[in-house]
Amino acid sequence: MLATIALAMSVSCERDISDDAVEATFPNTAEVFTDAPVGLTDEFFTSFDPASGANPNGFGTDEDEAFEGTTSIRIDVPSPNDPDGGYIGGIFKDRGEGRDLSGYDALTFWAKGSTTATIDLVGFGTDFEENKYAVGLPGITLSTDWRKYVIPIPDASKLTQEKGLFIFSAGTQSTNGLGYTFWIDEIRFENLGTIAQPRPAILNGNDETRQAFIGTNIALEGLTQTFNLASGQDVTVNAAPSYFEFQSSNTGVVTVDEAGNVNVIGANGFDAGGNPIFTTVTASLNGNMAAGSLTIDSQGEFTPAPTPTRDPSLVKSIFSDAYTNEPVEYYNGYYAPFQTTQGQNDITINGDNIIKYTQLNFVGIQFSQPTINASDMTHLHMDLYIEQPSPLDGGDFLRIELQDYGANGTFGGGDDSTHQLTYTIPTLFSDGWVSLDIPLASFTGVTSTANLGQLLFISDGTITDMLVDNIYLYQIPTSPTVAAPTPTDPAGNVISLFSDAYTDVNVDTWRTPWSAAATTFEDVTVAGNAAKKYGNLGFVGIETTTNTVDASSMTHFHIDVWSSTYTSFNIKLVDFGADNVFGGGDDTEHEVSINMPAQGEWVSLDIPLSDFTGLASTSNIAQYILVAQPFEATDVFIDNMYFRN
Amino acid sequence: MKFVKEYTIKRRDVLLFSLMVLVVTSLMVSSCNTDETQEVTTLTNLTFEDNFDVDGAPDSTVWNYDLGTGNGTTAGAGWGNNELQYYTDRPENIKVENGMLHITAHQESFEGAGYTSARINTKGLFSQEYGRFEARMQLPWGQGLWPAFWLLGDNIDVVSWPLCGEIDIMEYRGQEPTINNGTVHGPGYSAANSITKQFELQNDRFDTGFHIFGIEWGPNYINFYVDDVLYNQITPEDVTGDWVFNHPFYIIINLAVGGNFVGSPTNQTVFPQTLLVDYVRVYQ
Repeated sequence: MLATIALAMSVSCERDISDDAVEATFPNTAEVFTDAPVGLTDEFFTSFDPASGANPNGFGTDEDEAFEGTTSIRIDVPSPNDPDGGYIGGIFKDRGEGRDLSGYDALTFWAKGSTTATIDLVGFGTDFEENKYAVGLPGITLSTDWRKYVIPIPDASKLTQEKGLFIFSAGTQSTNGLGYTFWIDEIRFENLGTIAQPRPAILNGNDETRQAFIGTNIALEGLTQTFNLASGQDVTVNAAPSYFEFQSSNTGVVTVDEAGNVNVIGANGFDAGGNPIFTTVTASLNGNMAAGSLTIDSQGEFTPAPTPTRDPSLVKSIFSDAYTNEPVEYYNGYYAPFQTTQGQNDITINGDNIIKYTQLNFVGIQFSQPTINASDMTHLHMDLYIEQPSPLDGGDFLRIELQDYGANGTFGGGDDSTHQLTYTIPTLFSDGWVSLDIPLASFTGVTSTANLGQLLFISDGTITDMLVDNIYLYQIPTSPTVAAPTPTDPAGNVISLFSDAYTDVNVDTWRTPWSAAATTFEDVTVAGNAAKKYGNLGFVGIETTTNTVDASSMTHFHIDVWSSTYTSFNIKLVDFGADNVFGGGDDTEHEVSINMPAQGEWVSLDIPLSDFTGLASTSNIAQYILVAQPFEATDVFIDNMYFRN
Repeated sequence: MKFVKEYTIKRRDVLLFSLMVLVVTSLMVSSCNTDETQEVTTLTNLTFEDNFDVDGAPDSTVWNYDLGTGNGTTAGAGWGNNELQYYTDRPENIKVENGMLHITAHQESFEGAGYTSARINTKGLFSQEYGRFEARMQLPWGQGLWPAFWLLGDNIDVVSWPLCGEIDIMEYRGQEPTINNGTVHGPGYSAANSITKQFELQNDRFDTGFHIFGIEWGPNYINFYVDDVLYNQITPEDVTGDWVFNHPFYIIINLAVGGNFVGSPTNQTVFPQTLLVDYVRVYQ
């Protein structure tokens, strides 16, 4: 009663503004919960989605506990293995169109716990709509007696129509999985007058420089606002991007939208001395400059990693837009205390998701829930782009470590196996994509690949900035599972020896008797498409002696080849000369060698006839000799063998 | 220029600051009258004034510097309080600008100290027995910051401290941004045994705006006030020793870093920190 009188008296002295000046505003009700919800939806607690593991059953009111009045909110935090959900959390939402909170500077409440647990998050501004002005205070520690908590409003002038009046999220990380209860009472917005010394920050106050390309998109993170309270304590809340104003030092190179998304749209400019001019993104909150900045070194146009072509049915992907990825827990474990590496799967360039590591010393990617069974896989692929202003030197290295978690499927337990492979120049180089296809068998310390759990990159700081894309395990089968690409050269420009796409000329033999003894020949079908298989290819002769081929109007020799094991592949063409028969002194020939062709996928060779420099004439081509290494120990499939112009 | 101010207290402030439920009824009768005043100050005859209106160093005709760490002085290490700063007269630490005295504490390595700041006094230039001493100031903030506006008996070199007497008009811990401490020290009631009272601002802080810190001092009483609130009176009955406030005192303004009263700064403490003084005025 006394409080009511005092309030009435204090307003009685205020001069009323005239009716003309009254603006249409939303109610400024301060209370959220006293002994009952105030102005909230009837079911005033809206749980997080149970599909995320949220337990919707532990929320209620308690008439036996209250800080003031008769009733408090009671929250029973479940254990992680509770069948109804392993954590609890949700929001309180305004019943109407929202409230005008611009006259307040904090949300306050009282809470006590059955134990001194840590609550993951409390806050406001989350309305399960735009969440535009979401604010979160992480990690408050409960007392077993009532204690007041203050969540400062980063900039109250933004909150003229706010529906998200309270949010909390609580689990049992701080109690080793033991459930507990906590009570909340007297939730209200207040104008304390003692919320002071604002110190906003982006990127948690760090000044970061990142290399980027046109099309790079980076979401600014680590957005916080810190205030000093009457207690003298600093409180830092996470603040939604909408509280901030973002600035770019050159909007022709880098733009930032209201949501804090940084988009690179141009390349670095250069000063008079030819030095690149970087672009810096900064921010302010309610007129206060935020600590932290993002400086972009834009390299201009971006060359994406080669698009993977492996048959998706033979791939288990860890990170690639080309495939469906296996469940991955994280692309950076931020292992304390020795890891410096920042960055993870948080950038896109022209829509291509890419992992970007900075300050690399080591970093782990974990995929242990469940582990990946790669026992039917043969290779590990990844594309690396080392960003470095100067070329790599002999001291720079990257170790790639693969860990199998063993039969128990979890880290440790005595059944893990691991192996590191070290890469240096010239395999590694900077400012271009390095594509690695590593036989799993070369990870000799990995005794089983049935429970792969982790992939690590280790550079000890010799390589610090690296893009990674298309990390996947794949199987190279012993024979192709997909047909060779269908040729697109117009039939009128082609003389075909073997292709379903064209009418073929007469070929006398696809395996001359003088071919390598171990080499076998077989007409086969690959995914419904005719192909030819040479088993244990050493060398094989193919002949068009009856009707030699006049390829003098052609410019290229084309052949699609496939092998899971070859390390080189050679093609020799023999022209019988003007006499059109073997011998006679006018025969000419030339052999072209393809070193390290890609294994386990169709390789389309389209070789200019001018590369066959020893071939004096192409008017009477009669012999085609295919050679592979390892000699008489590799199976090679061919398709679409033709001349074209 | 003559400065006269009538301090008035509106009824609502009385309600807020006192918990005297009994007077509610009478208050309600004339709730909006402003002529009922709490008599905070009575002395209006100006005897000393520095409005800090001339940019540059403080006026040397009224202000002396205390320099260094205080180590080796009669006060003792860290000016007797284990303070951490080195006091300088550099403009980085003390200057008059835009009508304000700025005393700024920096975190920097200087002559063996980890912080620098400044301290000035009127010893030998101005002292007065009794009167009204006040300053309008905005205070720094953060753990380990210790600004003060205070008086020492000008017979200190004869009788030494605490026999000379000390009156702390404004003394504040940066980690308690709403609390001012008003204190007297004398024989038998010095340092930890001093006679002190805290004044806590409601819904406001001392580091976000200017506030007036003052005393009115006469024979056998010292009244302490902040803005328009008289929050303490100390008389000979309150002190646990001789009353040593019947002779002239001089003025000191300083910003210490660390020390017994406040504790050391932490890595959360933001530097630099500035004590802003709009004016210092003394009335008789």
